[in-house]
Amino acid sequence: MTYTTPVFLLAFLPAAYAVWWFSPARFRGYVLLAASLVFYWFCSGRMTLAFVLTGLLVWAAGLQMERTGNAGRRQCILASAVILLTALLLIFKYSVFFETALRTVFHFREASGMEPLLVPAGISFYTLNAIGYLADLYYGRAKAMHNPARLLLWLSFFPQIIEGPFVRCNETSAALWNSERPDYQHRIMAFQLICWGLFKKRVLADRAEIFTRTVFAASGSSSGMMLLIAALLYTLQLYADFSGCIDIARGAAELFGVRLPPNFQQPFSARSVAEFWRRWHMSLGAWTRDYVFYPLLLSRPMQKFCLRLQNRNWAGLARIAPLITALFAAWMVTGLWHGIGFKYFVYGMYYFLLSAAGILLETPAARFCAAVKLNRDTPFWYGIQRIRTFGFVLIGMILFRVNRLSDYPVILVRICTDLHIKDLFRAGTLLNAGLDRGDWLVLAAGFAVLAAAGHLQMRTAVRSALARRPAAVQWGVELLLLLAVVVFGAYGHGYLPVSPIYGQF
Amino acid sequence: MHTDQQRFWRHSIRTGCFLLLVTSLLLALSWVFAPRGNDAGSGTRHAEQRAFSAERRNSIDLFFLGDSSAFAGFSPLELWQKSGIASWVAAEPDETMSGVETMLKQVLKTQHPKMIVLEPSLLFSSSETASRILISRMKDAFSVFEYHDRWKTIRLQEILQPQDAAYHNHRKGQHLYTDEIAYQGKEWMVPSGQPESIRLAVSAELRSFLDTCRQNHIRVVLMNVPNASAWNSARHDAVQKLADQYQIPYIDLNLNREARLGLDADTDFADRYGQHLNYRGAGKVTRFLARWLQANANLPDHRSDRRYRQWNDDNLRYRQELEALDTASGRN
Repeated sequence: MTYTTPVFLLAFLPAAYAVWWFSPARFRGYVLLAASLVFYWFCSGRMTLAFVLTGLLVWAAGLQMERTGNAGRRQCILASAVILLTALLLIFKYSVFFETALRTVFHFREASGMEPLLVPAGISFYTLNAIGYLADLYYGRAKAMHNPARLLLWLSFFPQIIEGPFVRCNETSAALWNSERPDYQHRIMAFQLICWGLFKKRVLADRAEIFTRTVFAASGSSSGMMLLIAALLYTLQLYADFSGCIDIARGAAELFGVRLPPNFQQPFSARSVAEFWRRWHMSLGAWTRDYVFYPLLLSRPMQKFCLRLQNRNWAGLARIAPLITALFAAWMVTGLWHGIGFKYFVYGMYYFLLSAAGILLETPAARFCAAVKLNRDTPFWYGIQRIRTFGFVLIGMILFRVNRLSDYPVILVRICTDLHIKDLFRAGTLLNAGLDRGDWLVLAAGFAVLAAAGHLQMRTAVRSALARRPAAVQWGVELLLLLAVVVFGAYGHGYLPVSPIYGQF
Repeated sequence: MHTDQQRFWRHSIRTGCFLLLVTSLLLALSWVFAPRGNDAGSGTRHAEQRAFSAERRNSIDLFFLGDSSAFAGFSPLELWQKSGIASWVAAEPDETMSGVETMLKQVLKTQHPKMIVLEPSLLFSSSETASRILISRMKDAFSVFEYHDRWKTIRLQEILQPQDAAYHNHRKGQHLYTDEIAYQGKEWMVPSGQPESIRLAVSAELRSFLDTCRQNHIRVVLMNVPNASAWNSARHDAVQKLADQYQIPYIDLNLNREARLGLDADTDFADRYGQHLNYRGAGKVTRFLARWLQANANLPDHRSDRRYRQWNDDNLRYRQELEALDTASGRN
């Protein structure tokens, strides 16, 4: 069950909401927990038990950390829990990868017969949330949750368990456990957000998927122009898919009176790769910053290392080396978090190199611009920076999308060397890769609406502004979105169901 | 408190009005997008199988329901030739139990069959999910969910036209597989230890389907056509258990198929996986069924009924097609 299926939107969510709404306030936390575990059971079956046991482990570790005053012991509990959680993540998520790798190394012809493990739903999300919670306890930024049900609810809250966003326990645990019925206006706003998310996912992302799947599956025979269009469309598709699902998750959470943090903030308006990642999957960026980058940068061994470099009169290196090392670790975690295989490691390293280059080149670039009297604070220069950043993102997206890593250089070379506009209009190209004229029209109009909404959002809070409009306007927007999903949605005859892309991580 | 109650009612009425508006719009869109004709050109999906709407009301006594195994494996005009029973294949590819129930509702709008032969392969379809069942129900209520994609082709003058079921399918829904590809795989009915489990949602849909049949006084027979790719003993055992539970006749033609049907794995399949029978295999299955129906079901013979003259004409045309196929393959 995913957030865009009718069974979630028309059966599970309304049923859970009705039970929650009519429950006495003191039981609402338990109702939400029960709903979340039922949802989890639908997604992962017997793996729910593995999830509950993990939650209880985190709860026990948290309590132990709070009770002991000894700093060394606290560190030991934190390290043990983090190692155990990471091991569980690796075992569940990477079992197939390791089996394949072992077979390759030892040249086994036949599969070992080992059944791949059923992966608990959202394991990457709840594992990182759990590690974050324990780290917050260790650094004294949060208090341990004494009630295991409360911790389990925070970890399993059904709108966020599949695709996030990552949340801190301070942000949502109280609102979840003592959830209050939202007023009418907030319910309407939550409903609007769900409709908006559905529009992005069902109308745009699922339709774009038809084209990108066709072109990337035949990447060996597709022209450079087709591959470029597919890469562009995939970048927009991934945004519509992920942010659409997050909107549905946030809307569903708001129905229960819980505000989840936004995960996207007009990422394509970013002027640098670093800024892009502060606007794209923001909660993952914040997590790696707070639990990988800064802890490593400010760790005692790193400080000692800096001091040693400074003592040897390598001040410049002492300033840069810790930064680059922490950046490397953060991007490695980001890359490997995304999935199984070497491809995701390379994906992380690609962004590490870009970010490191950004840091290293910032000062020389500023000096150069000052020397040639180039004003970098102009709309024109901002535009150039945005196009450059989008280009880097596009190259990263191709890496993210390719079926095999070996396809990546082939695709890049073809895009660079085989770019002819006439290829788009030749028979057997743009209109013969699963999408017809009508589909392209819907995609163009839909992404234009998305861009306009993003542009408006940069100037004003669109949802609040809409809430201030008369009821007829609000109804009009909701009806338009709903009918757009019903009529233009990529579902039913001739369409394959498309699971949320980030749901697989 | 008074204000709270007022607010509650005000919001409830607003929500009710909004839902009413959504329902009205869905009904309006369903009317707009519904195909005006019953042929494929008008946008009707699986028009061959759904063309029973063009037949005279209440003229068909037996319907075959199921997935692609059924629409390849039964030949209504072979049955007509042998027994005079008026039948129709309303089976569709990748069909599920919830889809069969939707189809039955469609059938009951214009026909009142006395018997349904259900091909039970679909009880194990992996496509049947809770969402698909819900979508089937939504399609029953609002056809826009089935035909929403027609926005690409629909024209204004088409919307203003009345409904018209003029398309006549002379093969009565049968999909004629003409390829002749030998099945060279293993024997698929190797005895198994345990019956395969049927998912709860599918069992519930089957129960609901049987209830609808009972309410409409329709007898149900479960009948498997030979299918090497989707059938095995574990599935047979599961369906046998169901048939015993609901006291429905069950015939599995995967068992003793050579002796009962004279099925030849070299010539009677249309693909190398043994998934679909070709027209010859379908003929053998249907001739067996004709004998079974004559012995066990009291369905009328309409061959000399003047109201069924068209069926004799259709049968003639069908025979000519088969002859042409046999000639092309060098059998005549």
